[in-house]
Amino acid sequence: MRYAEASYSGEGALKRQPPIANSVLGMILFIMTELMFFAALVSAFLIIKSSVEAWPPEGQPRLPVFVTAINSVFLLSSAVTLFLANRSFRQDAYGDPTLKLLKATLYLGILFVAIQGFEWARLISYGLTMTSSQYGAFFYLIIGTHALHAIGAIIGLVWLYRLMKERRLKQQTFSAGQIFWYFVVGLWPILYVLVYLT
Amino acid sequence: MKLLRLFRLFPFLLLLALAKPALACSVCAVASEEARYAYYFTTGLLTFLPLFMIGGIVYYVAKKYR
Repeated sequence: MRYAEASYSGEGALKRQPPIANSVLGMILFIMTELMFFAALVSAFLIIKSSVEAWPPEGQPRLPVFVTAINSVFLLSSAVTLFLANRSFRQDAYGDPTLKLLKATLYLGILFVAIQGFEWARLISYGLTMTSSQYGAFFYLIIGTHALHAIGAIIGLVWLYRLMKERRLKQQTFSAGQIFWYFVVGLWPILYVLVYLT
Repeated sequence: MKLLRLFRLFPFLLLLALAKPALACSVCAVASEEARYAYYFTTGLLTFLPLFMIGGIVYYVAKKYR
């Protein structure tokens, strides 16, 4: 047993600190299930893609590779601003720079989802739908699932921002939210390469 | 007694006899090399990813308490 991090409770009994905060551990376990979910989607996509003669199929619109690459930069930048926000939070918890950095993360995330939505509307107008082909079905399923996670993470960031403004945000809550955002950001390059570039 | 036990197994043996081969094996339907590698890759991914993730947490906690 490691006593270096142990502390005494009110009754005098030795109380061991958990190695990972409960909220962080809960988020990690949740992300593990999410990773398996995405692994299953990617597996199905790879199998179908490798089983057909031509991918993307003839007559289907091509995906907006360049615009999405720029959009990816916005999303990756949001991870940097969130990292800086957390660092700022550790130094000066409820200071102005922390709030600004968190707000910047939020805006970058919203921008990413908005551009994705705009591109989707264009693709639908060009005839790429869920039912147009397996190509369209997988595109909307995989990228759409990621977009839903991005929207969920943005809602989470709004909640963190509110807690921070009210000076009620705990470090472990911030870390849990940060981990989820990193999951959304970290997953994106893999999906982008798989779905858009291959 | 033994005969009675065997007799009890009869319905199960009958079910086995009734079973038809399932020709739904997706690997058999695909002949291309790329598809074969995709199957290997995805099998590996779905098998080892949970083990690595759980192993990672266990390793982290064990290291923290060492």
